[in-house]
Amino acid sequence: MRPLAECDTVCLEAGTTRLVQDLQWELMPGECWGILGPNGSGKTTLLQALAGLHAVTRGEIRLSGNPVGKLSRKAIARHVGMLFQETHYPFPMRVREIVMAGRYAWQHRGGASSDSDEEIFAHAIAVMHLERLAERHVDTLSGGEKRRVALATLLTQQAGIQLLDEPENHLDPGVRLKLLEGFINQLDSNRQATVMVLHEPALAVRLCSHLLLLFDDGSYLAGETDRVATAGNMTRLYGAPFHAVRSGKRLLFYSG
Amino acid sequence: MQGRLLIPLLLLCLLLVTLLSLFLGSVQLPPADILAAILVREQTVASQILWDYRLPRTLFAIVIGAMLAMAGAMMQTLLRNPLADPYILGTSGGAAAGVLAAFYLALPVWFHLVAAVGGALFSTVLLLLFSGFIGSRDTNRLLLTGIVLTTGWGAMITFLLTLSPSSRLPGMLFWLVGDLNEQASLSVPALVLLLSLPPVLLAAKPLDILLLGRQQAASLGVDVARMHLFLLGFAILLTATAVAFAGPIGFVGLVAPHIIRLLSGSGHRLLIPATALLGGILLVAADLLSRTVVAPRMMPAGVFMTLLGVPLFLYLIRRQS
Repeated sequence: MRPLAECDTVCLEAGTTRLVQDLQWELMPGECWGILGPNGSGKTTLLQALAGLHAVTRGEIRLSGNPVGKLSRKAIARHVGMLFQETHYPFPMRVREIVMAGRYAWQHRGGASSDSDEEIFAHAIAVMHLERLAERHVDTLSGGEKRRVALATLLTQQAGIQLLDEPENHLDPGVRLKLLEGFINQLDSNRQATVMVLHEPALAVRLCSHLLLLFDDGSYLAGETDRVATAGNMTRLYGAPFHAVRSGKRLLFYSG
Repeated sequence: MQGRLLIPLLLLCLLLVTLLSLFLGSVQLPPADILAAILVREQTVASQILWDYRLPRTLFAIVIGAMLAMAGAMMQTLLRNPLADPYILGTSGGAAAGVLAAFYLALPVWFHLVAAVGGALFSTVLLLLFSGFIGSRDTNRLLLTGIVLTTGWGAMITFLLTLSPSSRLPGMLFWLVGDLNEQASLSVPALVLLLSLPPVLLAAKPLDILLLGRQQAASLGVDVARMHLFLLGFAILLTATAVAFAGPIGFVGLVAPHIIRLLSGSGHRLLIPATALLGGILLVAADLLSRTVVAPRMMPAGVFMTLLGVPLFLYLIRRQS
């Protein structure tokens, strides 16, 4: 099977700050990666680079074998979709209009929505439990509801790679796990994969099959969750002592 | 409101206001005479006023109003800010200074358009450079930069007016406050308007997505840099053409898109044509007021447009903060 994305000795900078160095990494279909790291370690920048929104300083990112810099915006959008940390809507727009925007990358110039677009829309709305909000104006929604609208837009985009930047933002603790699991479970494991930036090691352990740890000094550690998620690695990652407790099959971390 | 309802409604309003504009004016004519002039082609005073004066002036107001309203809507999409308007942000001021410089140098009339485009382009580039470019969500910085630029162009305009010979002053002044009296040439503005509409309507979908923000739009597959250039180009062309021919008339670009968004949302496929129609309606109405309120004297149409726009702008600022 061909990797959906490859990072070939990728170095990233933000302004003059050096972030991750010489990253060698592959994303295969069906995988779910969690990126963990302290503030300013380049988690968001790496997601942006994968989406072609941030240029790499050195090295190359390939999407299904194609260098990301050589692809058009529309082609990239068919490979990669992204959920941003925050969304802001200064104009009155309906939930339906925003969620349908995910179909743009698949439509012909000026093309109207087709029947299959409507089906994909209905599915996305159902997965995110937005049926009753579809005709509402987005500025009347709560933070958590807006988050679900953004996730539904990502679903209609049907990109190979789903990049989620702090997806748990604004979501109630009670529903975040169910909602994110629902999102991941409905992906096609033969052609889709997820990469998410998270702040909670416990949430990452629960959701992700693999972890990528970005350290302060530009080094990184990548691998299967069971291997990477250790108290020692978390302590090194966040620069504060972490302890692990196992409760049944669950692994939990606490600091202090 | 649905498009199939909104557009016919606006067309009806446009027809009504156009008829009013033909029947009323600074000279009072009996409606029967006007009707006769419309139906029978005869050389009467009424027919002369109607065909040579009121009709061209009304059509001119429709075209200029439509252009300014469209330019405003596009500027708002470009900057993702409902307060953006070519008049408030200095684009009109730059165009006006350019035109007055052409007046002052006694350049031929066709050069006014070139000077207006140059001034508008220059002012808008300054605006983008100093307000933190397009990505910035800082409304205060955008508005402050625009206000400072507008003030600067105001000083430039005063400078040019002071230097100009008194014989040219009345024409310059009347042009400056938005005068539809010089029924210069209708054909050039009409051509620019008609040529701008199809490409903008074809780009309706990516323009809608642009409202979600620069990065979000890019991640959904929109070539953001290209769309920004596209918007900038058409907003400048439309503003500069309107200013070159009718003077810097303010607030059409603010009022018209705002009302349409309230009625039917932000989708550009409807927003652009509906805004253009409403802009035409508003300017014809403003012009009608300017010809009738102090009749037989006349006032520039820009005065009434500004009197309508200022309260709305203040209201929008209050709501945004």
